[in-house]
Amino acid sequence: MNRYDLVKAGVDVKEGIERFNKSKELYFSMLSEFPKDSYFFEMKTALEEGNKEEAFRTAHAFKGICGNLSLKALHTLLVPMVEELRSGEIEKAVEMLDEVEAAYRTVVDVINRSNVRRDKGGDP
Amino acid sequence: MKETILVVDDVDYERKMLTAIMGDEFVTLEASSGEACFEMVEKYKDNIKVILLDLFMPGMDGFDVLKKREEIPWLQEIPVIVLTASGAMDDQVKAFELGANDYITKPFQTELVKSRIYNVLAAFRRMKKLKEYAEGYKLRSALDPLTGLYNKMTIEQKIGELMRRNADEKKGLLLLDIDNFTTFVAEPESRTGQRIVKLMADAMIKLFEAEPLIGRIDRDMFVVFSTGEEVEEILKAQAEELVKRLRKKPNITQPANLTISAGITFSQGNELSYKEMYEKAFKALMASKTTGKAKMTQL
Repeated sequence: MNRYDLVKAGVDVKEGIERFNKSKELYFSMLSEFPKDSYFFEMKTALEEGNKEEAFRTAHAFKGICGNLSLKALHTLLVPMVEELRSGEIEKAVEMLDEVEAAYRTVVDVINRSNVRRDKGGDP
Repeated sequence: MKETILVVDDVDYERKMLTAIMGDEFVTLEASSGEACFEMVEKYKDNIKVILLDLFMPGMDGFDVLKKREEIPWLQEIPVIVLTASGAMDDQVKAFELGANDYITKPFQTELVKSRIYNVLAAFRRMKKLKEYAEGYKLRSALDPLTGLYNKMTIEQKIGELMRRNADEKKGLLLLDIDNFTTFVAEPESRTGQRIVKLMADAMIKLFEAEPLIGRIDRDMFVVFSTGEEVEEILKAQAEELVKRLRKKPNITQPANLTISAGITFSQGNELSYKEMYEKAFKALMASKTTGKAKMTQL
């Protein structure tokens, strides 16, 4: 994976590797599965449907995933959003969705590009 | 040997990450809900040493798991570390109030999580050891170490319980005292003294078997207590047999003048208290002692 692109997309690669027992391979293999995870979309659906409870639960879970993968930019946006949802302020959380989605797309794009390169046998 | 931990989280991706991270130092089992958590601990209770518990899950959540654990004593022997993305003070306080043993927020630092798991493991191991010691101590302190019979405090407590339980039944109390004990041994706690007391206790255990309560209440005095319809016939016959056996000395290793005296008394129902029965039996025992020893008197 391209470390430079990841860092540019707001990923704290150093911290992530540290968390995964200092193993670059382990961290990158977990990171490569991030685009397949459905929690962002579950959260988006719950927010759009105005389902407070489900929105909180899924946003909270999504925040946990982003935190442990050291997706710093995304995690930083999710922290206040989860707090709004915790206090039942779903409208305020919905207002934040676009920004969160943009950050999500950026990270997913970088990872997907790396995944494609790796699948083609290129140097990750 | 790697210890086994149970990861409870509804998010597959989280469980996968935790298993990958913890896998180098722990064997990990997974549960995807609070309900599944209980199925796993039920199945692997001897293996699971720590539970890593997520808080927000659909259905039974982490708080519900902690609540249910409060009602299951054996489950409290397995430490629970809450591992959640929520750093909210309310959640932390609530989790600790419900008995969580530690609380770690995501994103976590791996080294710290592992240290805290080992810490909780060590604390629980120490606690288990202490508990085992305390249980052993309780048993040891209830018995007379030399004879294995109940000591004075325990026998009095046991007799009290039996008197309450069988209030209407007839009761018998027998006191036995070794004759001329001090003439055999200058020191009651000497080896010879101890051997004689042990010999007596063994003879009593053999004769009375497990049925009545037997206790050593003084260095050379024993109390036997029993209840029931035929207590008078049975206890008297057994006491007489014991007195006779020691007089006859079938066992040549016993000193020639080692005999016992006995005092016995009975009470219909709870007509007499333990103290009154004891005093009557003691008077009877003194009567045996002053009229030639090696005999039984009933009062």
